[in-house]
Amino acid sequence: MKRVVGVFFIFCFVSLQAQEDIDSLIASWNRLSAEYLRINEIDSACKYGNCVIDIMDTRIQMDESRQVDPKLLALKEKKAEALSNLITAYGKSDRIDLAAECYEDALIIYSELEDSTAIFNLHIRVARVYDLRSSYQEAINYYNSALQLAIETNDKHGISLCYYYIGLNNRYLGNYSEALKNHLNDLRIEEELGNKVGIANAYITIAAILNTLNDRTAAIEKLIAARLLFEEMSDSSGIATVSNDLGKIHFAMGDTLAAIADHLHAADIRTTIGEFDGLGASYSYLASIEMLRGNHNGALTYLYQADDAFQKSANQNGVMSVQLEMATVYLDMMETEVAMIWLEKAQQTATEIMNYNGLIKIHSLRASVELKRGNQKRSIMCYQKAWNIALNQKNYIQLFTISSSLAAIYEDQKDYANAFRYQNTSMKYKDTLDHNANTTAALMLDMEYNYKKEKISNLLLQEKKDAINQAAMARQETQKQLFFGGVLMFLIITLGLWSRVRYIRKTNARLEIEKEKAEQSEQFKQRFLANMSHEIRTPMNAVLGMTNLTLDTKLTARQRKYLTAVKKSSKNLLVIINDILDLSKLEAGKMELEKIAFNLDEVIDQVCDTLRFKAEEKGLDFNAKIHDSIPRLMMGDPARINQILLNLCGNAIKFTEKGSVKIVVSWENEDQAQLIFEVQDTGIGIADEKIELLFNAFQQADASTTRKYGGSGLGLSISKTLVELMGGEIKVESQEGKGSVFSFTLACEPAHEEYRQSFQIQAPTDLHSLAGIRILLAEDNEYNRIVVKDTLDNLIENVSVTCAENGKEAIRMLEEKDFDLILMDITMPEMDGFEATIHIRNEMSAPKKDIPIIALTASVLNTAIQKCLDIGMNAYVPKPFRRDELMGTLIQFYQNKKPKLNQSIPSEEMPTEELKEVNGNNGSVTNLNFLTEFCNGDTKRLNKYINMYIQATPGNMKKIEKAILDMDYKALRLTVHSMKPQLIFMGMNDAKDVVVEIINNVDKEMDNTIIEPLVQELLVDCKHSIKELEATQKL
Amino acid sequence: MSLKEKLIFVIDDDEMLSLMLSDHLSQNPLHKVIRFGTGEEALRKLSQNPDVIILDYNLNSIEPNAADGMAILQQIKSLDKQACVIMLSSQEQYGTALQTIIKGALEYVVKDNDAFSRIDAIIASLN
Repeated sequence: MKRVVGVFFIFCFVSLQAQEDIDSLIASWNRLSAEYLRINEIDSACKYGNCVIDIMDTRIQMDESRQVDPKLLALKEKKAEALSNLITAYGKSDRIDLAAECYEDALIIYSELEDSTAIFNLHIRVARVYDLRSSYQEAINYYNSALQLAIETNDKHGISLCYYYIGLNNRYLGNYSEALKNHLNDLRIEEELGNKVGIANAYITIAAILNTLNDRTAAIEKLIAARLLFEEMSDSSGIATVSNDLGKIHFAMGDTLAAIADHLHAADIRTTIGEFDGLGASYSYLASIEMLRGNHNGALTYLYQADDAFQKSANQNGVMSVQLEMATVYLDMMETEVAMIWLEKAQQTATEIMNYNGLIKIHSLRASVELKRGNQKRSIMCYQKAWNIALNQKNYIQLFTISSSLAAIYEDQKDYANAFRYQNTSMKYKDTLDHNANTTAALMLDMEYNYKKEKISNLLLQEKKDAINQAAMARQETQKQLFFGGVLMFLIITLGLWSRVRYIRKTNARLEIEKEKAEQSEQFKQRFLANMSHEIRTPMNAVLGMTNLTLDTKLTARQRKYLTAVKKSSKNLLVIINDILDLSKLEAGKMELEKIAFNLDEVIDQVCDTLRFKAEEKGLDFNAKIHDSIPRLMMGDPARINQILLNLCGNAIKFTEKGSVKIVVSWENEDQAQLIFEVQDTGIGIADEKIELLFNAFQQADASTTRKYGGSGLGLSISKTLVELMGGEIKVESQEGKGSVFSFTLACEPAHEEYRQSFQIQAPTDLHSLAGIRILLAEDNEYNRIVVKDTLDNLIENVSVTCAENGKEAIRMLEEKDFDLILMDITMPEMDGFEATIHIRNEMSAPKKDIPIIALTASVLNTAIQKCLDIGMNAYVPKPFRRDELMGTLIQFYQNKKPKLNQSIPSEEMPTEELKEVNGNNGSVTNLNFLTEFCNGDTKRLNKYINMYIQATPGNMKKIEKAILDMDYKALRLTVHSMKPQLIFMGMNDAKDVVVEIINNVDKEMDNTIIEPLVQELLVDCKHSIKELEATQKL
Repeated sequence: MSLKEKLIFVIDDDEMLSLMLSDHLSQNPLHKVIRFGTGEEALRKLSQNPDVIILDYNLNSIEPNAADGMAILQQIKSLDKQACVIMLSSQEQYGTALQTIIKGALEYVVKDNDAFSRIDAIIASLN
């Protein structure tokens, strides 16, 4: 820049020498003055400007006397140009009255010349001067004058420029609605003009305001629109600006990582294009994020980088704000002394460049430092300084903040008069702000400030009263007055106490209501979940089943193609539905894991079978390797392991275009046996910064992924939760473009010998053994009936399937004919599966009462399954059922039927036994872990408590039964409530939950149909618990 | 810390819990525990000046006419303002807890597996 000025020097010198032309010399001086302004050499700019004016004034006088009009006008124009330069120069050197004089002189000349463009520029120039001094209101006034002029001359560029700056200044003042209005006007005109840069800039500012008004989604939309425009124009600087703004919004939304990524992106761009100003800003944002995260060192590093960048661009405003930030960071680190040094520096810079907003902040910060040091007087002084500047600048936001702080200090000093004064002032400014910016945030502040004001005026009143009391007591020292004083005090205290108690009561009542509401909505959610799983899975079962059956018939090629598509889509839909239901279950803490024996080979094979087709379709190698040393029979939840592997492998296949996907299972047997599952792929990989987002629900690495690759986006978050529930850990290593390795660990133990045996039985062996089986199918849904019947017909020789549409019909048919087994749907009209089973088990005579009953249920909630087993069903098969599963269960019960029939009371014996094999649940309702620990190994004590429970419970059960008979819900509530601690101590958590549910329903005055099943459930649990506990006593 | 013996009243009509609690507290040799099935019984022995009173909230599940824990708490407090009363209940409602605290209970403990350790902590903090 200096070189440019030098060139001008030579240029004007040469022209003067060569032509002795005073006019070109003047022109050069004007340009020189303007150049000096650009490089901030204010004094030189003033000097040349004044020189021009001096010379011009003399010549104008000479010409005026000679009356040479045309030349006079040219001379005046030159003078006005010099005056304009001087306005900026004076403005920058804080000689604002001189600048104003220059403005008036120049305005007169330009008006004389009727040069509206020049007048417009003049207004803008003055406005910029005020703008730079952060005198936003003054700036707005001048921009408005310019706007009027531009509208008169229909200068669209001018109009949009004015709207833009008026909007900007209003925003600085906190007049958001006004600002938004102006920017929208700007946007309209820029669109008329088709000026992309203008449109993009308008979007950016509108986004900033929307962000302030907490409408973040709209803000992001606008920013993305701006980014598209900038990308069209390949304007890197613009893209960087958008990135910074996106970063700010992301940070405001709490997405710190995204915010950091955005700012770093912006910093990268700016480093490349050498835009140091913006670079400084990007680093400043990063610093403030780091500071808010508590990473002081990170913040300082970024601040030094920001400082460096601002120094390079000679942006003193930037340098000042960095210094201010430094001070803030050190203050946060409790390094007050260092902070003060930085504040000193910042103050120097701010004073030099007349940055009033900066000065306000600096003084306020100083004040808070002094306050922390306990120096209230100095703090007040600093606030006063900040206050004065803010008042001058009409900066209401700062005035409001400062007055609230001052009020707080005065209140602390017990100077209630001043505190009240400042509280009132702050209210006044808040009103102004409110009036200007009708934001929700301001409304929220409302309550707080009313409360504060009320508090202070109360304290003031109290103080006055105290003073009156004291004065009265001092004046009249008789016993009588003292007594009256005492009474007065007593009354005040009583009043205070009374209002306090009332307040507590009110809060209490409100809390109760809120809590009830929350509980209700929680219950509603759970019921909704249970209903959903049933309502969705049942029709899906029909769709899938019918499709499968149709596919087995003779079809044309086209029909087959269509039906295959239907099957595929329904399967996909089922996956998504299951994901959603699983997630809500996980979130409600309702996911229950099984612990059963399973074959590792089978689980892996199943995953491979399911996905092989998909992989082959894409031409990928898909294989699995299980290390030989691993025992194949393990204990755990195979369905969940399968689900996790399907998720991971499904993803791997989805995101791999060529190469391979591989499952590797290895075994770590150090302290605890651990299985390590790895899913390796050669796919697109994941960028480092996206890895952390990966496991969040509803978030894929990129939102566009969902559109491109499908899926609910919940898989990984479900997998993670499942792995953690099973006590493992899930990890991912990835290189963008090279592939990813997802791995998870599971604490698994090899299955015991007895499980190996039971396991063997379960595998469907020989369907011939089912030949001739007579099955009664109770199912209300016609489609499901067909699916089950046809499946059975197809698979089993000589099978006879009789259908019943509800429980009543099933009972009637069972009475009339002989069957080997019943498949029972749970939800049916007239009489449901539960009632029917209870009737069969309790009312019918042997051997019919002992017929194996297998529940067909779409409910996957373990409580529902448990209920099936509790009321005497033998097993359950979830819908939509898998053929193997149904057949396996049939074989098991058809073969086991005969020995079972010899037992007298299978309904009580079978559930506990069969559970082990079918469900893997060990079936016990009690859990003595707590009690054993509590008794510290003292078995005598343990047995004492257990015996107490065994003795007390039958009595309680009788009471409950009587209460139900008498419909005496008060007595019922009392009894079950008194049982709660005992149930807890015996580890009967399900029973305890039932008790809570009974109490809730009694309180809500629900009728018998709801309460009685719960009571029955409780009684069954109690009965079981006594049996179980008696068994421990015999040992 | 004082090595003075502590007299602890356990007032609860739940026989099992009361026994478990007294067994548990008696493990400390400095604790002397007396159990009462109703509040009325305990009130008659209040002259023994117990250091800690552990009081059940529902005292009428067995004796329907017995005064409930709230009434007993009020009576104890009217006889001895300084009495340390720990409220014990299987109700997990915040409102119930708040009521007892307003009426002068020192703490409110829900009857569950953690109840014993919480009571330990409260008694320890009284030293």
